[in-house]
Amino acid sequence: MIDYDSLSELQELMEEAFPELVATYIEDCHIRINSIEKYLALNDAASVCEHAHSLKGSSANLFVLCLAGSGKKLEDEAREGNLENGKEYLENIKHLFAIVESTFRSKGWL
Amino acid sequence: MPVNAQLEGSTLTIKVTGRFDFSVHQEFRLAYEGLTPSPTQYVIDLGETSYLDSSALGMLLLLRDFSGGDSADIRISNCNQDVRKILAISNFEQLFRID
Amino acid sequence: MESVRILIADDSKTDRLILQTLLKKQGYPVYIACDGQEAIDVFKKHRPDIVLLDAIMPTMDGFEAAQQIKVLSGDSFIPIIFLTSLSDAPSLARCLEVGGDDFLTKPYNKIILKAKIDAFSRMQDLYQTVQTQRDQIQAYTDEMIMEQHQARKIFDNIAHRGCLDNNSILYNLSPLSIFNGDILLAAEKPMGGMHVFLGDFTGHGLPAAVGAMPVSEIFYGMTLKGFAMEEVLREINTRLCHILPVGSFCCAICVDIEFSENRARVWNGGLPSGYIIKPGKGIETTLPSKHLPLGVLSSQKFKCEITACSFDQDSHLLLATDGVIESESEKSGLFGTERLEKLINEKSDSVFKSLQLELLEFTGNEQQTDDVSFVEILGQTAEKKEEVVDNSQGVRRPLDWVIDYCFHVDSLRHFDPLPLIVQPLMEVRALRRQRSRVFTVLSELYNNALDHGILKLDSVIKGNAEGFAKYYSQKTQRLENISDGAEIRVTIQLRSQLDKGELIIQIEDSGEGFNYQSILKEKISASLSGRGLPLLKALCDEIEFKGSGNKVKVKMSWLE
Repeated sequence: MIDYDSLSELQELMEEAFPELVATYIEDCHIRINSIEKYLALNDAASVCEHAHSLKGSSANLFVLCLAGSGKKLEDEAREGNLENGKEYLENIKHLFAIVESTFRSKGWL
Repeated sequence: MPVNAQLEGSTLTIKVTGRFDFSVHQEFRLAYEGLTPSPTQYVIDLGETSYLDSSALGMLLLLRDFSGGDSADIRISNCNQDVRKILAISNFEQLFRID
Repeated sequence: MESVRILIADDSKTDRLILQTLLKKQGYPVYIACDGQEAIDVFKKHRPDIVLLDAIMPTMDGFEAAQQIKVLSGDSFIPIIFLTSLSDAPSLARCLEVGGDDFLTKPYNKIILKAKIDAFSRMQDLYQTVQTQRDQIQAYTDEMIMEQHQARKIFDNIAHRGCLDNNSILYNLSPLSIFNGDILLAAEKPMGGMHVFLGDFTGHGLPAAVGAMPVSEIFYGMTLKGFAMEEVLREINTRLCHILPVGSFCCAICVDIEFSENRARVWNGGLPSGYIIKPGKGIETTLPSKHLPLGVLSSQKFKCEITACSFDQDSHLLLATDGVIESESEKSGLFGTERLEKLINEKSDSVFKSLQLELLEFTGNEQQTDDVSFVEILGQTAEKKEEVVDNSQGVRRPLDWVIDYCFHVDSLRHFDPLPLIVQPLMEVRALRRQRSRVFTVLSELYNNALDHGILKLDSVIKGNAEGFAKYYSQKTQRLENISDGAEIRVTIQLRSQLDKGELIIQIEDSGEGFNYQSILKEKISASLSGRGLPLLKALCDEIEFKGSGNKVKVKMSWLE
């Protein structure tokens, strides 16, 4: 669910800026997840789509493939105006994110 | 050169360009003196003569004298109206053929 | 080389951070924007060299921002690279449509990133070089055209248009023709008639134009002073020999038209034949080149033989540079002499207009037709001649002036004052027409004062050829021995109104005078001397001796 090979390449590339990148990513995920939750409650598909898109993008940047995949599914359905499965995706995203965050922390990147 | 001479057969053409006055009297004389055999006909081309004065008239008379006086055959050609007038004032048409 | 400065516009913090880190590590200064609007603001402020643009952003997306940035770039080439994970073809196509130059897909690869930036940077340099060269060429061209116009103005100030604007002259000449080496001059002669000069200098541009100024100065100056065409050409040739480099010269045709005498005198050195044309009939006389161009032969070798031909009030004269017969058409090659002569013979009533039209039709190119030089001059009747407007002399207005000259010993010995005295008189239109008469009167008066008044020479000795020579040597000798204090005073008084005028010349010498009473009574004789006074009497309206005979006053008057 995380492409560690690619991530370690990115780590080499980023060198001393890597911890900042991870921190930025985790912080961004918090914001995106909160926003998705808020706009799902408001039934605002467009905004849900926008934040899901961002979550997908930054997760892909850090090769967190599981979150990128879930984010993409939510983004695609929200773009169609379909929020039927929104809650389910959100719960899945929250669950995955908690694992990712604790994994990163255990690696000492946070 | 203000005075140009050209001999063709027995006709000598003398052309005076610019001023025809005392200042060219030597050149004018040299243009016709000393030719052997002497030309029998003379043409004085005044087409490019800007003016002439009484000395020029004198020089023309000298040429007439030189080339036989009353039997001289001298034609004054290409005169503009002013030059013609000056020649007429001195009655030169009685002494020369003017055209 | 200065580092390429890069703008990153992306709403994703992680994207920005990764790209920024990669680019900074490679040494590129980076500007950051979080959405399309901010990208435009940053672009305006910093003018980056390359823009990396995310396609989907809040506030303003990348497509919109790209369009605006392209507009803001103006003439400069600012590459826009879209950052995208978009994989569908329509979106990629849209990136290009709005002005994107390339894509960069995630995940970012530092080698590809660097390669793309370097490639665009090189392309930008190339573009910049081309732009700069284009701007330089444009600036150079603008400057050259401006300089040519300035030079043309200077040329116009020196070389007035003479009588080119006369109704009887039709000409086709580009305003910048002197830079093609072509020069057309026409001037009225002081005693009537006209000098026309059409020249074609070898080469183009400034070298061709350089010779035009002295040519026009000599042509107008000497024609105005009444010099003959031969003298004008001789002087032009001498001057051109002097100033033009070897191998440069001026092909020219010069025509002296005497309307009142119904004749034209032609000198053609190196130009195509001129033509005298009879309307309704065609070519009457062809005026071929018989001489080397001006500026080739030294003054000693220069021959100025003139061809005279008849030219009456019905005649037309056509002169052209080789631009006419060498006009080119893609279909039919060169215009050629044959075509020109056929046209003259067929359209002899309207040669000028027909030639203009046919050249335009032949070349199909207005520019090319404008650049050829040709002139047609129509014959004039005697009355028409009087109406000729000579621009060089401005408006006629009443004149009233006196000029005093006093010539002292040294001047009497070495100086011929007649041209000096005549010069201001030739500014007067009416007197230009009777230049000969004025010159003769002045010459008689001055020479009388000098020869008889001051030098006391006896004109009787001019009775024969030897006498003439003797008179001459006596004159030379006595001039050397003139006593100090000898002088000749010349007073010229001119009064003219629109319809009439008079010229009063008074000459006074410091000699003893003579018994004028008896001489005035003499009749014109056929003797070699003594014609001076009668000539004066005939040429002047009044003649009056004063004092002891050392002072003489004559009056010449005229009606306009």
